[in-house]
Amino acid sequence: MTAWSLLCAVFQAAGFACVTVAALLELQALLGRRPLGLEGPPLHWTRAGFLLLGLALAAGGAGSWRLRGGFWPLQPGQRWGLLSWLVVFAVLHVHRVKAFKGRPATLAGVAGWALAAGAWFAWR
Amino acid sequence: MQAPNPFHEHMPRQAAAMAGWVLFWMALEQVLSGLGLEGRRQLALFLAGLAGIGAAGFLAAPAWLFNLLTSVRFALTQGAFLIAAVLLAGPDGPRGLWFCALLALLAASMLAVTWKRRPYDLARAGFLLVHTAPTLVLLGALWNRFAGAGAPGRWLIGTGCAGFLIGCAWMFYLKPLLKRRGARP
Repeated sequence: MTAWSLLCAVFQAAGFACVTVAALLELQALLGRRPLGLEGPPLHWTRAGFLLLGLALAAGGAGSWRLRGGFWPLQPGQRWGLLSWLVVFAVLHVHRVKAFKGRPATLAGVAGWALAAGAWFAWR
Repeated sequence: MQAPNPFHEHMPRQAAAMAGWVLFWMALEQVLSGLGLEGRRQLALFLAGLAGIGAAGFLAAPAWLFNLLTSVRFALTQGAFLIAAVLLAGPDGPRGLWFCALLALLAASMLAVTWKRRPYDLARAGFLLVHTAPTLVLLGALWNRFAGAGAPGRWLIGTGCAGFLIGCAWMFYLKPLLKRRGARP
């Protein structure tokens, strides 16, 4: 394992941890214990996850470059990183659509987390 | 007067059009491979086709195209397609022309959104960086495919990654922090 791939794994773990906290807060909202929508703490955690997963992609790309001289084909871990980053990208943009604020954005956050978690188990 | 449910707001119609876009490039890739055109030649024809489609769209319906490319709903449709592509395509899927066509559309959307946010000032620096830096990454990847892995491609990709991450940090954390302290960012 190179230093870059280790860094990639650390950023991925930290990013997904942030997204997991956001998903738990959104789950609480769906159960009626918090206001619906991504505003406030869920948005902060989702943004932190987006930034960390972006760092993981950059570190993973640098590692691939070092080893093979190119970014493609992606390793399974990097493919998962790209997927989870795209999921968070989608969740952050759902939040920007007025008609999707509230329950749809909350559902999208939880569904996105479930998709990323499911892909992690499937690809491991 | 605008139609009650214009195309740039209608996600199912956008998804159907995106499916057509992907299928078109998949079919073209098959045809070009059948003709013995591979690698750089295929990519050069892809870029020429993309430039032609872009120019035709810009000349025929600039307002329609601009509204579509800057629509958040269209960004969501593109995100859904990219997620499906990463889920369903094999490890070599991203090398296909259809995947490059999805990325080209995403880059065009991000550049259009950047153009829409004029006039530019420091308060929008994060947003602008986040929406222009990925294009640098894609340009770097394109350079690598044309000229082989080398310093220019690495520089473009590295600058794009750094710009994107700095833009995110500015938009999500530094700008709100400065705002809270009463300074105009």
